[in-house]
This record gives sequence, structure tokens and C-alpha cells, in this order.
Amino acid sequence: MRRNLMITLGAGALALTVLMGAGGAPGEKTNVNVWNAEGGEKDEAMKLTPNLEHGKDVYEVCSACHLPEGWGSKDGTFPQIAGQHFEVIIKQLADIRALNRDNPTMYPFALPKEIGGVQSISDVAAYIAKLPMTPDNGEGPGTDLEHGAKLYKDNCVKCHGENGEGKHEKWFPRIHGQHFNYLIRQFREIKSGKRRNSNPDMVKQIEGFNDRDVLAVMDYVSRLKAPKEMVAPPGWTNPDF
Amino acid sequence: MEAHRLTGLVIAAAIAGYSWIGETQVVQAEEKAAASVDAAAAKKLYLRRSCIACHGRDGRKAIQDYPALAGQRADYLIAQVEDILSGKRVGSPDASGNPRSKGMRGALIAPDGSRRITEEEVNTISNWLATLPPPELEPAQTPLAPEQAKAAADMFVEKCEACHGPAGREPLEGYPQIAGQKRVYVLAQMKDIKSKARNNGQAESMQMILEDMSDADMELLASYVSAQDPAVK
Repeated sequence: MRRNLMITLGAGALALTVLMGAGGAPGEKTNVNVWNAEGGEKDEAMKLTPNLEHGKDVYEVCSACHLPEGWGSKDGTFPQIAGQHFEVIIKQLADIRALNRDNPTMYPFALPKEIGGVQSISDVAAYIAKLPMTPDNGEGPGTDLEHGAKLYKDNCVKCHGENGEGKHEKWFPRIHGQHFNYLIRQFREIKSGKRRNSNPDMVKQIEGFNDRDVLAVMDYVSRLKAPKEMVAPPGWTNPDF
Repeated sequence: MEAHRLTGLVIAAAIAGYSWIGETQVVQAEEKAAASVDAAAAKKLYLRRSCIACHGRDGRKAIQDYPALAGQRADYLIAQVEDILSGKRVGSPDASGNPRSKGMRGALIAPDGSRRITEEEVNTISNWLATLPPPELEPAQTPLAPEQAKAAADMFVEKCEACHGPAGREPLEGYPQIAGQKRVYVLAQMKDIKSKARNNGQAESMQMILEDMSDADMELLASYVSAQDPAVK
């Protein structure tokens, strides 16, 4: 009886969360663009103490696409996630499973029944954040870098930093060392609104970018280097897997 | 005299048998060696191309409503992968609003539209999966009562056996082996084929059969099919 009541209350709370459209629990697709809703699993996960050992177990399923090293693929199908800020990984994972960011390939794995509850988000985010980054990310053609550098300075530095390091406390991602093909795909999806959890300030900032601008600035970013101590030596493989 | 002839026959048969067995053993050993080389390469590809994420280790531990692949006909697997990559095979949407096939395309088609898996690799992986033992039967959530099981078996003979073979174990070319397939997947496919959400391959011939079938009958058949041991012949 008491248990039934608990279940009812739990279901009620979940329904309420979905109705409120918070950035939180897995729910109905809304088609609404939300950058950073208050509450939900994102906020909950930030407050938890991550368990790295469990994060490693959770990461096993991620490794099928992002690779055991977290380095993704140069063709831009899967991003490098190794070394990304803890907060950014939590936000993206919570957003994907709350259907604030469309990702049909990753969606099934983001669900609680595959990776577990909010503690797992914190655990796997901590694990990924400490993986060393690839020494060999995909770069652009390198033909328009001066233009790219100027665009970066004028439009991107304030949030993503001089060197593409991002701002973890504001959920701005680390973009240096990312694969060029992934960068242009995300840039275009942010610009077009297809990526629904993008920051409206960025959407506005890049409104006027033409094709040449996009390629040039992303090429420049793909050549920014992460700090040496964050990058793996060539040929490194993850001994955990 | 009679006994003598018989002995002679037995000896002749034994000699013939011996050399036949000897030859077979050599051939089998060679095949096994070839297969084990291919198996290692195929298994590596299976990991590299992210198949394992949804379909589980050796195609035997698929997550959620994705199908088990181990023991499936290679020709069927190849046709389905190619149809999913070309967009010919789609299905009803999952909770995220995307057809289930979209996730697989997302993993195997690069952002520039190029394939991340060659036709040859699809063949290699499919032929390897076809040699693997199918997964153990999943415990039935709601086992069929004896009279239901009888009704389901009869319905299967009438509606399904012609293409999928007895108990779904010996399909015709181009059709899947369905004995022991996950219930949730079998049911989703029947519904998708009926609604034409899935319309590739042999779907059209199945649509005629499903046209007038009730949801209850589809559920009954899915329970029956998923409970059939694919290893029994």
C-alpha cells in the first residue's frame, strides 16, 4: 500500500517535471529550444560526488562509439569527449536524455535503463573529463587561417577563451583539439537552430557568418592546442578497456 | 556365404567410411582455420563499427527493442543493413521521435554522407554473425497457457510457416529466422510492417497476411515465436 503510494507520488513528480519542461528528467520531445533550464538532472548531477570506478563501468557502452580513449572520429561522426569539462558533459548528457538536444544515435544509451540514474551521469562525466585528449585530432584544410583567427578573436574569445578552453562554470565547452568535421557540423546545427540546446547569445553572435566564415573559424579552432599536460602521447591506448 | 558377403560389405564400408571421415576431418579443420581467421577480423570490425553498442557482444545481447543478430541468415542481415543505410528501411519512432533506424544510420554514415562501413565489411560481419549460436531464450514475461500456445502454434502454421519455416527456424531465402528472436522486436516489426512504417524487402508479402490481424493475435504470435528454441531442429 505504502509502496504503491510511493510509486504514484514518484510518477506524479516525473509527470510534473515533464510538464514543466525543465532541463531534467527523460520526457516528451518538446521542439522547444532551451539553452539552460533550471533544475532537473543537470543541476542534481552537479551536486553529487562522482565515483570514478563506477564511471569507468558506465563508460564501457560509450566506448563503442567514442572509443575507449574518448577520442571520437576525425570524420566528425563522433566527437572527442576526452578532457571535456565535467559540467559540460553533464549538461549535454542530461540534455540528450531529457530530449533537449536531438541525438538519435546516442539517445538509447543516454537513458536511465542503460546507464543508470543521475549518479551515473556524474560518475561517467568525471571519468570522461579526466581522459587525456588525442594528439591527432582532425584539422581543416588550413587555407584561410588568417580570416579564421580574426573571426575567432572578434566573436568567440569572450566565451570559449583565447585558446578554446571554454568556461566550465558556465557550461561553455572546451573546443580546442576537437575534430574539424565535428566542429563544422555543430556550428551549422547551432546556427540553423537544429541543435536546440545551444546558447541564444551564440546563435545571435554567428547570425551573419557565411560558409567561408564557418569553415575558416572552425579550421582555426581545430588547430588550437590543449595544454600539453592534457594531451596523451602518440599511440596511447586506454588501459581501462 | 551370406555372412561372408556381409563381412566384406562391412569392411568395404568401413574403409570407405574411414577415408571419407578422414577427408571430412581435413576439410572441416581447414574450414575451421579459415573461419577462425575471419571470425577474429569480423569481430574486430563488429566492435570498430559500433555494432556492439546496440546489438551487444557477438550480436547476442541486444539492448532495449533492438534485435538479436547471432544465428541470423547472412543474406537477410546484409539486405537489412544496406536498406537501413540507404534509407529504404525505416521504422516507427522511438521516444525521441526518431525512427529506430536513424540511430544506426547516424553511426554508419559520416556527416558528409559517405559510408563508414564498406559493403565488404557488411558481408564479413554478417557472415560471421550467421555462424554464431543464437542467444539463450529470454524468460517469457507472461508465459502462454497451454491452450493459448496451441492456438498460437496453429496460427503460426497457417500464417507464418510458409516463409519463416517450422516454428520460424528455417526461413526461405531473403526472410529472417525468427525463432527465439526478442518478443519486443518481433512485435514491433509486425506492427511496423502492418502500418507500412517498415516497407522494405519482403514486407509487402507480409502486409497481406497482417492486414486483418488483430493486435491481440500479433502479441500472441510474438510470444510464441520468441519462445521457440532456434537450436532445435
